[in-house]
Amino acid sequence: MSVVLPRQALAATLIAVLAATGGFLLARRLQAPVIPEGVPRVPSADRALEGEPAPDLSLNDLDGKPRKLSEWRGRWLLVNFWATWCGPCMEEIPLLIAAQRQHQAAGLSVLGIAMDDPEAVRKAVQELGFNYPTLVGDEAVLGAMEQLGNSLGAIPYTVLISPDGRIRYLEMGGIDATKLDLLVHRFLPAAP
Amino acid sequence: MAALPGFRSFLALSLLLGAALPALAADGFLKAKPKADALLPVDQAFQFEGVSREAKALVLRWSIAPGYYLYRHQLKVSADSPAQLKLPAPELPQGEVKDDPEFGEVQTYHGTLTAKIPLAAGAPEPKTLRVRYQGCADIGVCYPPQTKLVAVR
Repeated sequence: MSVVLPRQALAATLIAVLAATGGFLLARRLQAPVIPEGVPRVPSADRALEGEPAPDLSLNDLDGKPRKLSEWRGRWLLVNFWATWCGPCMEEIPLLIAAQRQHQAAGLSVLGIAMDDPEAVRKAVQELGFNYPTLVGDEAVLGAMEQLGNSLGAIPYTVLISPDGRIRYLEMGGIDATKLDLLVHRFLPAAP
Repeated sequence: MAALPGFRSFLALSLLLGAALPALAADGFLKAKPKADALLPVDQAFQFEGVSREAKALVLRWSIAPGYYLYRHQLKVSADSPAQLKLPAPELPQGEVKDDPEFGEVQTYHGTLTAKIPLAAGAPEPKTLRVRYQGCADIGVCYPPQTKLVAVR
C-alpha cells in the first residue's frame, strides 16, 4: 500500500470538505422553498381547458328540475362551485351577489353549483339573499367539476364561460373583489 | 510533481464523497416527488389510518399533511354494523382555536389527530364504523366531507 504524504492528504481533505460544503449549500439553495416543502401555495386548475368548449352539464336545481349549462348560452356565465361547509366559499358569496347585480346588464350571469345537502343550500340561499340560481348535488357535482378541470374536488372553484360556450377562465380558491373586477373588465368590455 | 498512486486514489475518493454528500443532503433530490406547491388529493391531505382496538377504547388516527387541517366539529363516528348500536361521542384532543369568519370560533387539527371512543366493559362492540371528516388547506380551499367504512380489528 502506498504512503500518502501529509500535505497531499491535507489538500485532498480540504478539497473534499469544500466540495461537500459547496454542494450542500447548492442543494439547499436549489431546494430552498419560502414555504416549507409540501405546503401548497398555488391552487390547481387545469388551465389547458381555457379556450375549450364547456361540457353541457346537467344538474338539478333546488326544485329538483334538471338544468343544463347550455341554457345560459349567449351570456357570460360565471359558474361558482360552493358548499355551506366551506368557509372560503361562503365568504365570497356576497361578492358574487354584487357581481350579478352590477354586471347583469353587461351580459354576466352568475350560477352557483353546490356540493351539499339541498336543505342546507336552501337555507343559505335564503339567509344570504342569493340573486342568482344555484344547482345542487353530491357525486354529480364532483363529476361536473372534474369535467371543468378540477379533479381534486376542492372548492371554491370558479369557471367563466363565454357566450359561445367556451371556457375562458378557471380559478381554484377564493375570488376577491379585485380579481373579480379584473376578470369582468377583461372579458366584458362593456361592463360599467 | 508526480503524485503517488495512493494519493490519486485518495483524491478520487475524496471528490467522490464530496460529490455524493450534496445528493444525500438534498434528501431524495432525484426521486420523483409531487410538485411542492401543488394541492394534494384529499386522501393524501388527510390520511385516515384506520381504527385499532385498545384496552378500553377504539382509537382512530389521522395523519394530516403540512398546510392542511381537519375541523373538529365535522368529525362524526357511528356504528355501521350493527347499525342500531349507539356509540359514545369520540373523545378528541383540544384543537387549535380558529376564529373563522363564517363559522365563528371553531377548533382545527394540524399534523395528527387521534380520536378515542370509550368502550364500557361488557358493552356490545361495533364490527364496522362509519367515519366522516372534513378539512381544508390553509391557502383557502376546502375538500368535501369524506365518509369511510372501516372494520374494527
